[in-house]
Amino acid sequence: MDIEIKGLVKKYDGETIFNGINIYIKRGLITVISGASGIGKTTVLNILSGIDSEFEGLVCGVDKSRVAYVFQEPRLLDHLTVSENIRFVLDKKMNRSEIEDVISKVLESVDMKKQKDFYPAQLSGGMKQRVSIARAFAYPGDLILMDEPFSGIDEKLKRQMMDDIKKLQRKQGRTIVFVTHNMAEADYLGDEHYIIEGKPSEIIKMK
Amino acid sequence: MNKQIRTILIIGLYLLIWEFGAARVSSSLILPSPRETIKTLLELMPKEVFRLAVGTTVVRIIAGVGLSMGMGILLGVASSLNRKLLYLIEPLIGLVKAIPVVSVSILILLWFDENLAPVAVCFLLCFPPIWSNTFEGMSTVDEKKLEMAKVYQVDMLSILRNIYLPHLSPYILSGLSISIGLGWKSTVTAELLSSAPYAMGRMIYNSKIYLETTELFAWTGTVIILSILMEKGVKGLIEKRSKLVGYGYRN
Repeated sequence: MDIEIKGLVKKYDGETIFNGINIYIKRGLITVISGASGIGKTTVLNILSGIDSEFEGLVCGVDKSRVAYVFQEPRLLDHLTVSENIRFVLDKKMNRSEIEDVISKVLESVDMKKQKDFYPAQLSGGMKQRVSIARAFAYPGDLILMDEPFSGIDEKLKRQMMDDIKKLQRKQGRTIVFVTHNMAEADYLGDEHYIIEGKPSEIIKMK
Repeated sequence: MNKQIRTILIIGLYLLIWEFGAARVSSSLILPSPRETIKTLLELMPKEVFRLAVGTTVVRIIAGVGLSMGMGILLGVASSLNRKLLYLIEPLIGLVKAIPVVSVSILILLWFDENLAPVAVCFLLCFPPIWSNTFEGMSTVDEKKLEMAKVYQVDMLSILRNIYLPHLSPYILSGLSISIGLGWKSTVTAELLSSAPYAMGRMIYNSKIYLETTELFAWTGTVIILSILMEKGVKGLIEKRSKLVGYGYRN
């Protein structure tokens, strides 16, 4: 089922961020939402994920138990290894042998298999974010939300990570909503592209 | 200079100053020398009364600190989750911190017998640092990691074990380290005031009334050594834990 946000009204500290916008996200594609910093892109993701429930309007087609999220920062647990960090979100959702199989495959896809027993303190920023991406793709879900996951990552590594995301998305057929302020990322990744602009923010479909 | 060598040299210096002072005073009734004190301690140690007193006092401290740990952690966690409870407990914590140990001991003696009173005093005085540290730990748990766990629908037990507990443990251990020193002071004081049987506090009191100043120093020295050893044990645990989490290794 496709995802729809209808008539979204969101206020924050008395200021209206969205005043009845509509977003249509096609299932099985990468939808990019871009716009300037502070315009409300992360708010859209937080509403889709259920982190933010203070809004008016309707969100259809999202099963919150099947949503994965790649945040701006990796949000890994420092005392767990790379594979344990992924296992942390998979426990009780799959049986043990399935979990190990999924972890192995997804780490291979992001070229982090050799580091599976490393702790976050032993990883670079880019590596940590790759683990965060692997965690999202390992999670049994339909929707992956990505909030500017390449902040602070060099161009060469960013390109490689974008390729990994495209490859995993095509393989798994998941719906991805990707938020960025970088137009080059939007063009490279997105099957569909929306821009948020204005105050209160309006949404324009580019692609 | 190596830290251990430095510590030994500083202790040696203070022992020299003490020895010099005792030599100047020339009266073991007023100021016994380190040598006299150590000699008396070595004479006391094989005696059953020494082992009984030390053993009973240590058990009282463990009981009091243990109770304060249990209640402190429970109420510290609860206070961070419930504002009304926080508003009820905070003034009591302030009150307990301000009351002199002697006043608390005398009051508690009205309600408990001489065996339990030192445990109750120890509990009351050790509770505030454990509560405060637990509360502070809970208030500084990484909200972003909790948010991640919420989105991924991680179960509460996993969240407690993998997010709250690793974050809280250095705070709790730090509170415990503070409580041990307080526990020793308060328990021995309460034993002295209550004349608790088989107690180091009682032995210190007896030394005073029989004008056995050297014994008084020996018992006091024993309290100090045991207190430092217990505190160092806990601090060692904290350092080990911090290093392990910092480098990403686990126990």
